[in-house]
Parts: sequence; C-alpha cells; structure tokens
Amino acid sequence: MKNLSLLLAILLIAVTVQAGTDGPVVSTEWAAENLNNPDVRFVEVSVEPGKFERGHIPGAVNFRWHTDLVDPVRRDIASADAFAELLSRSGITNETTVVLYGDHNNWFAAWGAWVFTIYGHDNIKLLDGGRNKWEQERRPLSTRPVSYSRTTYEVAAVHDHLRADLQDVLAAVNREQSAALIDIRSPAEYEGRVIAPEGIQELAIRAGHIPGAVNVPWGEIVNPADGTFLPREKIRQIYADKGIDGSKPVITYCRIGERSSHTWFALHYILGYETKNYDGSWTEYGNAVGVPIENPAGTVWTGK
Amino acid sequence: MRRFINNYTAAAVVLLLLAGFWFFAGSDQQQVRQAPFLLLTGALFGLVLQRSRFCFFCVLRDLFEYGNGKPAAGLIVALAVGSAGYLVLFGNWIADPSAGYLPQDAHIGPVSWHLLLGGLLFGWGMALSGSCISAHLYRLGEGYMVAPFALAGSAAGFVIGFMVWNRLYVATVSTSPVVWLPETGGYAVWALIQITLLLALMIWLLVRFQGTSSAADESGCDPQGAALPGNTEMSRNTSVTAGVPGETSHLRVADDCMGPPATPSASAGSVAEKMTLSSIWNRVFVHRWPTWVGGIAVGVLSMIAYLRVEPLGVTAELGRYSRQLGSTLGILPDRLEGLDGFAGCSTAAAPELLTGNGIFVLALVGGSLFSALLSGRFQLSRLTAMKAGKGLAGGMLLGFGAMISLGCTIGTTLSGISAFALSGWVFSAAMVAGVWTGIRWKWHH
Repeated sequence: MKNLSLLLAILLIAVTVQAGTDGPVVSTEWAAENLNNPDVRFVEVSVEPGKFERGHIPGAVNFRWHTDLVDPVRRDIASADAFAELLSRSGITNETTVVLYGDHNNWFAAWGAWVFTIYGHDNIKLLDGGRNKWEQERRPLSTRPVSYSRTTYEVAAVHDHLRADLQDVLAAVNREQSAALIDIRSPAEYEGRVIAPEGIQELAIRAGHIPGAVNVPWGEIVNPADGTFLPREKIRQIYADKGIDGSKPVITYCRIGERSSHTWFALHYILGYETKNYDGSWTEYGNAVGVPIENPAGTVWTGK
Repeated sequence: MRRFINNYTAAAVVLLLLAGFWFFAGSDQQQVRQAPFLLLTGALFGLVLQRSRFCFFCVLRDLFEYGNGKPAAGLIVALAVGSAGYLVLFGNWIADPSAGYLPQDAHIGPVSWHLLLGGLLFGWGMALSGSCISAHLYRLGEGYMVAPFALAGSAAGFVIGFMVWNRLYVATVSTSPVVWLPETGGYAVWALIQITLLLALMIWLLVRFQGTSSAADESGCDPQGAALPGNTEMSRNTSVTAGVPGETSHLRVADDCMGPPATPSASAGSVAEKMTLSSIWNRVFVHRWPTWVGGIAVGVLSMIAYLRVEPLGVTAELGRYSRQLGSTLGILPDRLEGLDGFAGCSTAAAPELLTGNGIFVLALVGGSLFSALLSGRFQLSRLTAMKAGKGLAGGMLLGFGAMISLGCTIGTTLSGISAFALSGWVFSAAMVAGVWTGIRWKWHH
C-alpha cells in the first residue's frame, strides 16, 4: 500500500513535469522546480532596461531586445550569426529547453520566442504570466550573475515563412494570397482615432489599419489578473468569433511587431495555426506610399 | 523646556506623516515594490544631509573663504565610497566593461562644452542662491526661507534650459561622446586611478587647508539665533562642534549655512564625558556630524539606491514638472531632441502624479525637517527682498545648469563620478570653478 502510494506520487510528479514541458507555456510552479535543471535555460527579455539587473529569476540570463535580438543598425531581427553568438555566449545548446519571460506581459519575451523559432530553435517555452506573475507570487529574485560555459551554437534552419514582409501583406490585401490579418492594437488605433498609444511618439503618417484586418487586442486572450493565457479552447473561440479559424494562414501585426509576437505565439504554438508575424507592422504599413488603408475615424495626420 | 517639548512633538508628527505617506505610497499597485524603499532612503538621505551639513556650497565656502578643507574632504569621501560601491555593482552586472554597452541607467552623459557651461552656471547659481539644489531641499526642512525661491527659480531655469536644448543638441550634444571610463582600460585600472585620485585630493585638502582660527563672526552671515533656551553661550559662536564632543574644532565655517546653531549641551566638550543615553542621543540627533560621516552615509546610500531603483538624483521630478508647465504654456518645442535617450535625471513625461523621484525628494525634505526639529535647528530664517531675489536668480542658474547637464551635484557629480563617468568630472570641475569665482566676487554676501 505504501509502495503503491509512492508509485502514484512518482507517477503524478512525472505527469505534472511532463505536462509542464509538453505545452508551449510553462507555469511559474514548473519554473520554480526547474531552476537547477541543467537542460533548461531561463532567458529574460524585458521591455524596460534595468529590470533584470535589479532582480531576476535565479540563474536566468539577460537578452537585451534593442541590441541582442534586433540588428543594431538595420531595421531587422538579429542576424543568424549574431543570434548564434548570443546563444553560445549564454551556454545554450541546440538541445537546451529555453524558457523565456519578461515584463509587460511577456511582450518582448514573445518577440524573443518568435526569433528563436525563426532560427529553428523550437524547444522554447514562455513562462505563463511572465515576470509580473513571478513577482506577484513572491518568488525569489536574484542579482547574482551566473556564467555558463560557452557552447558552440549553430543555427539549424531559417524559417523565413514565420515572418511577413510588406509584399506578403499587400498580397493578402489584394487577395492574391489567401491570408487573414489580425490587428492586435487598441480599438482607438485600429479605428484611426489615434496614430499611436498614449505616451508613444507617432511614427506613422497615416491612421487606421490594413484593409481586411480584424481587431483582436492582444490582451483579450490573457487573464487580466495575472497575465496568463486563457485556456486553449477559449482562445480558439475568441479568434473563431472574429472569423479566424486556422483555415487560412494568419498574419499578425501591431505598431512595431512586439505585442503582435504575443498573439503570434498563441496562434502558432497554442492553436497550431499557420501564422506569420509582420514585424514592419503599422510603422511600416502606415508610412508606405500607395498602399490602401482603412481609416474609419478619418483622422488626418497633422491636420483636420 | 516648552520649546524643547514642542520640537519633539513636531518631530513625532513629521515621523507620523512620513509613515502615513509610506502607507499610501505603497498602496499603489505599480509602485508597490519601490515606493516604501524610496521613501525610506529619501528620508534617510534628508536626515544625513541635515545632520552632516552636506551642502556643496557651504563646504566649498569653508574651503575657499576660510581655508578649511575638512568639510570638502568629507565630500570627497562620499565620492570615494560611492565609486567603490558602484564598482561592486558594475562587476556584478557587466563582467567585461568593454562589452559595448553601458551599465543600465548609470548617470553617464555626453561630454562636450555644454557641461562646462552647465557646471559653471550651476556653480554661480550656488554662490548667488546660497546652496545647490539638494541643499536647498534639505535646508527647506530647516526653515531656510530662501529655498522656496531658489527652487521656484530652478523650475524656471529648467524651462529656459528646455527652450534652448534643441539648439544645443544639434550644435554639440548629438555628436559628443558618452564616455564611461572603464570601457577602455577595464575596472581595475580605473578603480586604481579614480580612488587614488580621490584619496590624494582628500589628503591634500586636509593637509593644505587647515583653516584659520575661530574669530568673531564678521562674514555678514546670519546666524539665526538660538532655537532652544539654555544655549545662549553658543548662539553667536561661530565654531563648529564637529559632532563628537571632545573633538570640537575651532575652524571657521560658513555659519549661515549651519542653520540655527542650537544645541542643548553644546558645551559638553570634555573627552572624559561619561557615556549616557542622553549623551549618545545628543551625539546622533543634536550635534552635527562631521562631513566625512555624512560622506560615508551618502556614498553607501548612493550605491544602495542604484542597486535597488536608480542612481541618486534630486532634479528629475522638478524637471518633469517644469517640462509639463512649459509644454502647457506652449513655450517648449513639442519634441526635445534625444533628451530622453540619455541616462541622467530623466524628465520624460509620466502618467503618475508623483514618480519615484518625487516620492524620494518629498521624503528627503521630511527627513531633514524631522532631523532639524529633533536637534532644535528648525527656524524660519529671516527673509529680505534682496535674498529672495538672489535666491530666484541663483535658482534659475541652478535649474538651467542642471537641465543641460542632465543633473546637479547629486545626479551628475555624485552619481556620475561614482559611475566612473567622464561627464561627472567635467561638470564638477566647472561647478567648482563657478563657486570659486562666485565667492571671489562676493555674490553670496
């Protein structure tokens, strides 16, 4: 009897751990149990600089989105070489399970997940609820740096099909390609009442959205209390209500492609839909010459 | 005696207010982690500044006017302790300083002639108004009536600074280098150079400037009279009790910077004084601390603040409100080029009524008020139209200088030099030159 319950307990733990690693997101509990797991590397990608330095998940390494994950000169994601160097430096091998997390509801952590996936590293997880939930639960933070032995990471493949460029978007708009567009910005931005969210500089010359795009703000698929993803079925329903059911490829966009990575993550990893992220987003499309836009509010830049 | 009790009651009220403020500041979801910490460090900072008379102008005046280098050496202690503290954090955050990026939000600013201009004007502003911005804040807690004028002037100076910023940015700031010393040469070399330099400076100040003997006050300063009964023997005495009874030094100091020289047992100077509860109390809460004690405390607070929140600074909130005011009045450009991209006392718009820096600064004034009340040094100073006018004009120079230099004697000198930023040194050199000339031209009289 004693043995049986022990066996059950082991089975239960095994199942829990399995469940933790199977899905695309991991819980904070799972993360806490795997802090010392050598096959797992925690990577913080926060929007606000300085957060990591003043306390992070013990053992985590810091990726700076504005220098590490993007090209510092061109408007582009980090090159394959730079990405491989970054991962080698962080002691990550092609087999390491990478758990990404960050502030602001994992926005840039999801961006990181997208870059990882483009460069063929599928073995990634997003920490559900991100940094906020970890802090809310009063879990330990550390300021002690950890250095891992250098590895030789090699980019296995480049999955360009996960990234939409302006041509892809225009092909969808002109119905040359079948694709559904999701604008994940606020309704005010989508309808063209404002060009950028409050406190953010207006970087587009036109207001509105890409023709045919539906508006599903990124926050609709998370629990407002702790920022965790809603259950898979609910997420599926939310998009289905807007006509996005995975029957055709999806393109997500926002202002600069950051928050839309969060939605991309849900569609690609949680629902398994074929999804591209359009990182040019509205700051490219809203500035492009000669492209059709929809601007229900009729706001005109610098004038009425 | 009644006065004495009043002081304690008032101090208790201030303490309660600070506690209440702590409670409310901590109830906001967004600031829940930082507000109580900022409040505590702010209050401690105010207490330390008040206790040790940590006023850059007063200390430089002791040096230039009375040849007394001891207080100035105390300032250097703050820089040396701060530098050592920052090194500990830097080593933890950036293993190799040549990695190509700067330590997160350390006050390392662009270096060009605009810092010389900013420092010089700031120094002149100190001479005219009688203090720098941080000292005006803590002296506000002592009842120094010039302080509100100087702070209002600073706000105006900030607005003027914002008005010329874009031209300055295009002319020089945009192309000037942001120099973090350890980036070339490494931590060890610069730790050695900077800390040796600071120690040498300190020893030089102590040895070379031993001060003139105490004499009757003829400097035209305004000792504000005794705040407590029973200390008449001290009320016009210009010697300073160096904090520890038995170490009474009779060096001349700029006593209008001292606040009311009120100590209930200031005559207690014998080495053999018995240690009692009240003598310990007097040493801590009644007598001034020597500047170097304050220096150590300021250096430690500087490191702690950087570790937990952001580098010490006192002008961010003032600048933010000035910027809002200027924008509302429509006299500022819509966009201040590159300004919010630099590390320093940030003035970027924020949705909160009070940002972290605002909480810190208010707590600073509260901490100083608490300390001033306990030691019986709180008294509203006499105000003349001349003083108010000089405060206002000097304040404008302070604000302008701090704006274009991205910080003041705390944000740029203390937090900059501690961060091994060349900008901190350049600003400070110009600031000291400004104070020196200002004193030579007797602007402070």
